[in-house]
Amino acid sequence: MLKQLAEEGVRSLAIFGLAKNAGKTTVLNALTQEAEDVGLPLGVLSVGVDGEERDVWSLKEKPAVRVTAGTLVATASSLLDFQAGGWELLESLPFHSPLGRVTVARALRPAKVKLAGVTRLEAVREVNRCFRLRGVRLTLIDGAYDRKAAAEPGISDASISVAGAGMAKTLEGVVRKVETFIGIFTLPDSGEDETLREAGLTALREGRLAGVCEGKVETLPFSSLLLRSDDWEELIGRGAWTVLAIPGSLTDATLERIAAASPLTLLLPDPTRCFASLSAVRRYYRQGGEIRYLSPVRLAAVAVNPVSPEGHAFDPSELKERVSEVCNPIPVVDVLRDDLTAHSPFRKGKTGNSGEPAAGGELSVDG
Amino acid sequence: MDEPTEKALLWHRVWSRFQPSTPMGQQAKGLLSPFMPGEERQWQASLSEQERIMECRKKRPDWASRVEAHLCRLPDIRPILKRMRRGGTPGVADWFRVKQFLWEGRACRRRLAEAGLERALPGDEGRWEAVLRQLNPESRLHPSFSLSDAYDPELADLRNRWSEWDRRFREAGEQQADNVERDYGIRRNLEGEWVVDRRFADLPRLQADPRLRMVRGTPFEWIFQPVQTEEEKEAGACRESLQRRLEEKEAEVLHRLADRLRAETDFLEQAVREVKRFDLQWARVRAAETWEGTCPTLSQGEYRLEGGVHPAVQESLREEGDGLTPVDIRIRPGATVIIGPNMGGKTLALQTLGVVVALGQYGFLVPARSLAMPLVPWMAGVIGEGQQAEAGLSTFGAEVDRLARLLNRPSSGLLLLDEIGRGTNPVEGAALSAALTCYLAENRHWAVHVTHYQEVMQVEGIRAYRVAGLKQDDLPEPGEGEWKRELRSRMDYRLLPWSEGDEVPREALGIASLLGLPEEIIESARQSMERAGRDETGNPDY
Repeated sequence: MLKQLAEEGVRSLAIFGLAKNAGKTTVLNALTQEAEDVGLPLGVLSVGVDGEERDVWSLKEKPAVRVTAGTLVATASSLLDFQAGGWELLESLPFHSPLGRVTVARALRPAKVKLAGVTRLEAVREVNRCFRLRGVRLTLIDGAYDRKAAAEPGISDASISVAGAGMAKTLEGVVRKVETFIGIFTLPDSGEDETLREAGLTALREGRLAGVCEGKVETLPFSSLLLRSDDWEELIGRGAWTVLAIPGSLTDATLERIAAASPLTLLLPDPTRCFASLSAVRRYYRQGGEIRYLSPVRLAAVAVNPVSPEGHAFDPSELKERVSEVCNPIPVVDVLRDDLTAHSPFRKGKTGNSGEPAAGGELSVDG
Repeated sequence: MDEPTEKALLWHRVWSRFQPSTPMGQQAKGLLSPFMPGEERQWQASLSEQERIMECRKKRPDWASRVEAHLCRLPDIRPILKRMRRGGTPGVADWFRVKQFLWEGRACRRRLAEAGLERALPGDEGRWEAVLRQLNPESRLHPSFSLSDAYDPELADLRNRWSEWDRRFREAGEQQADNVERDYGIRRNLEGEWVVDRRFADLPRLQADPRLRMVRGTPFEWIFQPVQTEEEKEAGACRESLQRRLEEKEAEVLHRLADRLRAETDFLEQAVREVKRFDLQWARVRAAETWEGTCPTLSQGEYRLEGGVHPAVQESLREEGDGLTPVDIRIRPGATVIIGPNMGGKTLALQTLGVVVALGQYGFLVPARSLAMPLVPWMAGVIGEGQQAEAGLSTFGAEVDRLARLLNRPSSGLLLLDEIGRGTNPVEGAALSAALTCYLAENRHWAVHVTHYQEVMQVEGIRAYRVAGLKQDDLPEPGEGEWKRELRSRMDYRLLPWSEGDEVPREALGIASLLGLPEEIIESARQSMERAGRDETGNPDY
């Protein structure tokens, strides 16, 4: 999977959990192993420190990330003292993790390391830059629990989400949650529509709403859709909008408010900004509206983990099969049971997800 | 300079332009002291060095950017040196920081040598390199750090043997596992475990197979791990033993390194001090570049300021599209008085003098065409509203309280006074203001007193200035658009020496009218003044 991603030009891959203790570290370890097997120079960093104490598979104390010789890591330099002879410390970066200044180091032999997360987007970009200068072809970004932000297009080129048994007490519950996530994450992008793209870029550049009226883009004097009634009426009354590009987030409440006024095309910067529920999104589509993303996230795969840290477990084959049904055509992998190299990452067309959403996002289904 | 003075002079807005690049410099900024009487030679040397740095920066901006980049990457190694002094052994992360310091410090020193400034950092090129090589045993110098094989021949041997036994251990395990997988048609996961469905047909045989052991189960699966073979056990034990020896050897190398570098602690501490000192100089120059600083000179007992500007006020006015009239003034021990119309820039002249002199005393190139100054043990201001409600003091009370404490100071300093006595009734206020000026005229302080009171101008022995002010009847009309800008453009803010016979400026009513006070009030005040004038002089035309 990794080799193919690298060949397709993916230079950073985010791994993020859909719930706490989803099994992210296990996936990360599987990927570092795969990178070694296929000879891919790898860098690893984390975008936050989460509180997981135990590994979800073995229920033992949570292991640090395993890296092979030659792998580059970005972490607090103090965390490298535990295996003093195992690291070459290369560069100290001008920002701090919660555990101290971030240092880039190369593993001289197979090692285990705790990753102290960097917290700012610019810092992630700086680490990526440093990795690339030193020959890294693919950076794995460990997005701490529920850090979907790691999947932001500005941070990573593609992502793998991890769904674990801990997401719900029942298999059905897990499948429904994955379905919601997939439905939201794989909504269409702006495609080849230049006006739509211009509106989205204007909204991002200005930090304000941008509307399209009679084919022309207009910047509006509002930074979000959290508006007072009179502002809201002014917005709606200003023109016959066909598109509204939002620089920030979308929630159920704002979606319903727009639907009540006039369903139109809403353009968000990327899927990590959509906090609306799948049912609200479905309703909006039924009412004639549409939601698109300026920059889609390439979801390369969904990893599943059938064992919950709370003690319950699902039948691994059944979980994988059910999750695959709602993720199709995005591949679903179980890194402890499957051969990763046998799976191809998902890629939909050159422009990303332009077209229909994945199976989980079937918007004609009642929500 | 105390806090009220700093506040009154808008000092923080100027001080914030002084930004050292290294952590040591940033910390030192908070503790920086001004140069004191007796330190005149060091003061002049420091200023001369800054002039040289400024010239180099101006001539070679690229060179300046490179020096700046090295300074920004210099880490603070003082905690590590302190630990070494106490006999501690730094870890690899610490050594990396020390090496970074040496690497960047040496590079910075080389850059400075290009401009003939290498003496700013201690030692010579050879010394820096010799210490750096302690942390770089390979022949090629590089900025990274690891416990490389070059530190000890035994390290390489142990590492090779460890790798060999690790390979044997893995191969032995692989062999056995491959056999199991061939026999049962199952595959290990990346954890080296077999996850087997409970419905697996060969499960009983698998459970009985001595080559595996069941480690845990779920309602759906059993998880097996391989049982180690004798060969694997032996390889594992050798690997473990080598791992321990390797760790011991690595710890030994770290100790040895600490012992060797401990001998260099004096040099490293001196290097840190000098880097910090140079960083402060560099940051002073960068700040002074923002106000086109010039070098102050030492004078005996007199301040001579020409073309002085307040950098923060100049910046604000520039943003509004206005210029600033520079301040020219001479201050001798005794009292210097400034008189002028309202909004004539008297207080700004006082603030400008204070800021320029304070920057000079803190060793900066100053925002002035020229400044000659003595070094004094203190400067303080009584400027602006000083009401201290929490201390139970009114404006007048706070002012007098502060003044009393300043006048009682044992040594002579620069005293900046803004309209003393304005907070009480005009008769007593004027009397107090004049008496204070008289006291200061005979005193040892360098006192500058801004006032409106005519009585003050009659004190003997003072040096006085007046704000040139507005030309006769040149006030803009009330309600005239941007009256503030209008007023600024018509006001002549220059300080001119005051000579006997000069009129005391009276433009308060015109300015009050401009500010929008109802005309009936202004008119009533005018009539009242005329009446008072007739009563005093008997001349109805006063």
